[in-house]
Amino acid sequence: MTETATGTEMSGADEQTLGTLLERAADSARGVRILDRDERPEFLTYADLRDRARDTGQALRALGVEPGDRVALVLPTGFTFYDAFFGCIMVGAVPVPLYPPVRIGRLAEYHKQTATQLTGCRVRLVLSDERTSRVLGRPVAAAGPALGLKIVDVLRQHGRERCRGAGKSGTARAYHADSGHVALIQHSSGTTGTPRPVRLTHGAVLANLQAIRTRILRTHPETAEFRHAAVSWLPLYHDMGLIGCLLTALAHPADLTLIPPEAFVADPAIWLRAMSRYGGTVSGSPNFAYSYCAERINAEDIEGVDLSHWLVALTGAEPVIPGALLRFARRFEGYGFRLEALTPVYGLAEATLAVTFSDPAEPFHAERFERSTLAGEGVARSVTLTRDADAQPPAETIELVSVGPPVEGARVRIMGKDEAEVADGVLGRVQVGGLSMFDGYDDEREYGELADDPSPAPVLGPWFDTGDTGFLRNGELFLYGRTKDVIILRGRKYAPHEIETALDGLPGLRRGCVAAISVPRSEGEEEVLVLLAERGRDASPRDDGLRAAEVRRRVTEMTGLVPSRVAILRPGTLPRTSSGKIRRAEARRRYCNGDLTPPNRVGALSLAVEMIRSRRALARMNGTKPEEP
Amino acid sequence: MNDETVLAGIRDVLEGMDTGPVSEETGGGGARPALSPDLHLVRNLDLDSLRRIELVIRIENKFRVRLEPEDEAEITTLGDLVNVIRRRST
Repeated sequence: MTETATGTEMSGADEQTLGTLLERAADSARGVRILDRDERPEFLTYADLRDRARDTGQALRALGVEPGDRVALVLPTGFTFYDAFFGCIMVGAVPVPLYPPVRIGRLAEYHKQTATQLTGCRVRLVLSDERTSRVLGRPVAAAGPALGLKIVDVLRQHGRERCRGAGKSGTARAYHADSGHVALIQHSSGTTGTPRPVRLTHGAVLANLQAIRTRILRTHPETAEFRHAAVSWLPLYHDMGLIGCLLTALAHPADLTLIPPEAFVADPAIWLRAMSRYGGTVSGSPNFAYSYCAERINAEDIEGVDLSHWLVALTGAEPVIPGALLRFARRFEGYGFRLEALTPVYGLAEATLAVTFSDPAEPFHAERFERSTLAGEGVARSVTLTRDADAQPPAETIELVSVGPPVEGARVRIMGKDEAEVADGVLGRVQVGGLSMFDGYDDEREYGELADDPSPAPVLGPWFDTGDTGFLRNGELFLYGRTKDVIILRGRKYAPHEIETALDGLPGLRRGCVAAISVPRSEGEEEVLVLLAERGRDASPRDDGLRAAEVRRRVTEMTGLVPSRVAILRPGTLPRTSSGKIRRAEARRRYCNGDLTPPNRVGALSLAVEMIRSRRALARMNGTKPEEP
Repeated sequence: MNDETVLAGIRDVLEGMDTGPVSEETGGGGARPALSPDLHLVRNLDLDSLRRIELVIRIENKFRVRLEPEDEAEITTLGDLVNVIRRRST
């Protein structure tokens, strides 16, 4: 990429910030294309987006937004997100992207969570669009930000009028941030599954963007004829969407095509059609999206689609499942998709995003290890299998995928039980550090949880315990499990206790004697949610089926997650600590080994119950007597 | 549009989504499923958050309506959904 002269506003600013990135991108002809649900594109150049951000920034300043103020963005994928995000950057305010409301139901939980997040970061202003704002009244009232809630389009209009009134748009001088200033706050599900606001400086973010770009360009350099183009359906309030797509494309600068996440969920083929139509070279998703595409896309949805330009298909944010990636590669190889494109990566919001990257030019590297040595002694002993595609892998081995070596500026170390770094190939806790580490959780305003190392390296900063376990092998990271009871489903982390509280007070169950765990659907497959619940002392086992169906319903209704299995257990079956706390990891181990009471499979049963209910309801509607099944 | 037309449309949408008991019932003999107004969308159809998004988008495309956030807050049963669709399509 060529360094171009920066504008007068940036004179003397050698340090790069998100503001200087936008200014530099505005000097290129690149821009952002956003598709609507009917796949109609709208394209704005980075210069357009910079001008809009200046207008918005002008209005924010007039409103009384000060440098350092936290400003929440509750917005769907759209140009208003850019307006609000970079409008904040222009005035030195700190954007805090939050989830827009869920669709259908659960609004009460959404209100509660949003109010907590607004309060936690001491948000001074909430920015939204007209439509979304109509359901934000309650959390905004509860949190009471000083400057209230404003509509981005209205602000931008005001700002534009002010700029015009002032004669030239240049009057909206950009705030002169330096690399140590806080750039943005992104929410992480953290190591426990409870969302925490992660504070990132300009320096940390830029170092990570640079690391991601360098890693991709090293294997796939640009030439006079070839330029990278990115496509993404990921939500912009998610680190992979915000850092990995929006900001990385800006930093390059590259054309970025954004698809609303809802459009992808309703019709995943829109992702592949966009990759084909706009010549996407880089696009990423959590593992689940690759499975979702392989399962849901029909040939007629992708007629004529050409995926041969897709050089880097990143997969991260949840455990990488080799089987799922292979299925995706096989399903779409006829459309030009190449196995080598699949690039497992590892990252976390606390490290801005990227920590490790596997080789973008090679097929992903999966290896088999002896299960018992890994679980028992914590030593990764590789197993070589004869290359027979149809042979069943022996049950005593486990297949793990390398997520590669650390990216530039990032460091990884593995800690053993005695708090000492362990040797190559030995399992331990994964700790990360480096130039892109966060500056603290914004809801506590201190470094508390970071201070793990008594003598942090002066440049590369302290170590952060990720909550993951794994090992390094020849410099490449392999992830094995988690030190804490976190449930990861479709790229999102969930705290088990939040799922378990859905069952509080359910008749026929022992209060508090519940464990939410996730287990692989089958060997080498995605994890699914399993609920283990003990029956009440006076409850009859005969009703376990109905009880399990009720557990399933409650959990689905209150958390939006559908348990794949529910096991109703005899009182006292779940393992506990001496203080009576349920030991989830041990419960999970026993469940997987079949050492707990055999679970009731509720799938078929709840289905039968629903069928009876539906028939009765229909009969009531028609005034006829229900037919007994 | 009357209730029956809307219900039939929703049934098409749900069949297209291949979800839960509704499609199971029709799966075998091709009989029309039992879709009653008091069917609870989340509970009875096992719709997780992804499937709910899918349902909303498919409904919007099918009926050429836009479900507003405040509509969605009041939708719990199939009957609620029918009412919202009818309200928005006039």
